[in-house]
Amino acid sequence: MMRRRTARGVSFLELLVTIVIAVILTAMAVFVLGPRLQNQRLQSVTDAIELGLQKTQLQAMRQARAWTFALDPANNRYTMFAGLPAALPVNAEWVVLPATAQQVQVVAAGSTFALDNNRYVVTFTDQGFVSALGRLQLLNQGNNQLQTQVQINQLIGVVEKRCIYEGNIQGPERCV
Amino acid sequence: MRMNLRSRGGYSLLELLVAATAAVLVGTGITVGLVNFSQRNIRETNVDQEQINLRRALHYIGEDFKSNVYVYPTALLPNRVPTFSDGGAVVPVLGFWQQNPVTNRFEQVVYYSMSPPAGSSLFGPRLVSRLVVTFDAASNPDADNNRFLSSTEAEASVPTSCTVAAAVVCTVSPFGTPPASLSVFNSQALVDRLSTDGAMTAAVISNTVLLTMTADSNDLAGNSLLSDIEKGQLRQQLSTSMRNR
Repeated sequence: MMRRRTARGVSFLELLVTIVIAVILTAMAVFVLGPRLQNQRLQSVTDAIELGLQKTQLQAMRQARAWTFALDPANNRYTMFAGLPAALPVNAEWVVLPATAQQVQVVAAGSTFALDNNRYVVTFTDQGFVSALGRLQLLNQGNNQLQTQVQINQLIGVVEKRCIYEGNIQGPERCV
Repeated sequence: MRMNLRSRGGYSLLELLVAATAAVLVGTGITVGLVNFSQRNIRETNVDQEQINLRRALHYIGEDFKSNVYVYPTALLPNRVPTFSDGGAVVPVLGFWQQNPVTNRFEQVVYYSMSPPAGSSLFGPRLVSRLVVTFDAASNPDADNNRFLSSTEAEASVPTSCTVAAAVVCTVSPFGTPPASLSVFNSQALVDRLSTDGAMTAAVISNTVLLTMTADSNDLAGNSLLSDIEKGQLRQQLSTSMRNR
């Protein structure tokens, strides 16, 4: 019985066709998903910073007082606190970003938020507005083509992210 | 043997085909429905966000406007405020004077409706930007030094022939002082994604200013994504009072 069943196996041609199809499908998947996987780390850092800024703004509006967001690129972390940048508490609680500085880098040349003691700071007013516009530019160290920006380009303080693929800037809806 | 018998009693090709076709049809229906739903959801979220942005922008101007000491009548505006050159079709909409609480100097604040400057990160099709022109002590527009600006003083104190691009360039100063006496902050965008059709208007009626802002949402090709009803939801107004003497 066993012999019969094993004898009824697949032919070499069938096996070949199956393997070829599997190879083509895998190649397509790698082609489509590869850049996305590479980009994922960059996106998660960008999202974390965007969320941090939005939380800071919300906090300022809730408490009706100025709140500051501070990003410490050297130590790969950010924090938020009530008051102006000088009011950074000694025992501030820092949020660590989901990638190391070696993996995702803050590009100083493309970042225009104010610098305070090597930290990028953004202060929201009690209404959630900003007095100075700016942005942060992030670079995936593994792949120079992939960059993102977190920007505040309106005085009302809208926090937006943008993606840059090979020099082409895409709106938030186009970020992978 | 039993196994063999059972596997032989499977489905025919026709049955399989019918089942597969039915599955594809149902799957397509569900997918189309879900895609439509999510697109609708995105649109509604966008409209909500635009409404919030409009309210916040009007609120910003309202707060800014509280410290006004002189508001220009609309007709006088184009000739009394700096000319902008770093954006398309720049129209001054609201211009007023305020006194800086720290330095006590008078500042001219102007809101412009404009298209996004080339190379900027703004979407448009129109946006509102804010410019502050500060005058130094030597060019104090308060000629009689009574700490109030009369209409004569305010309307005479005009940075004529100024062009604001990356920096202000004035060929003539109304105060007989060199243009260096003006310190101009670059204009900053207040709110983006406004409609080409009356992005912002300010009607100055007796002692009240009625501000109207209309938002829009465009795709990358510049076509509006909104229906007429949604466009109607994206028009908001604010009325505020002025203190002209």
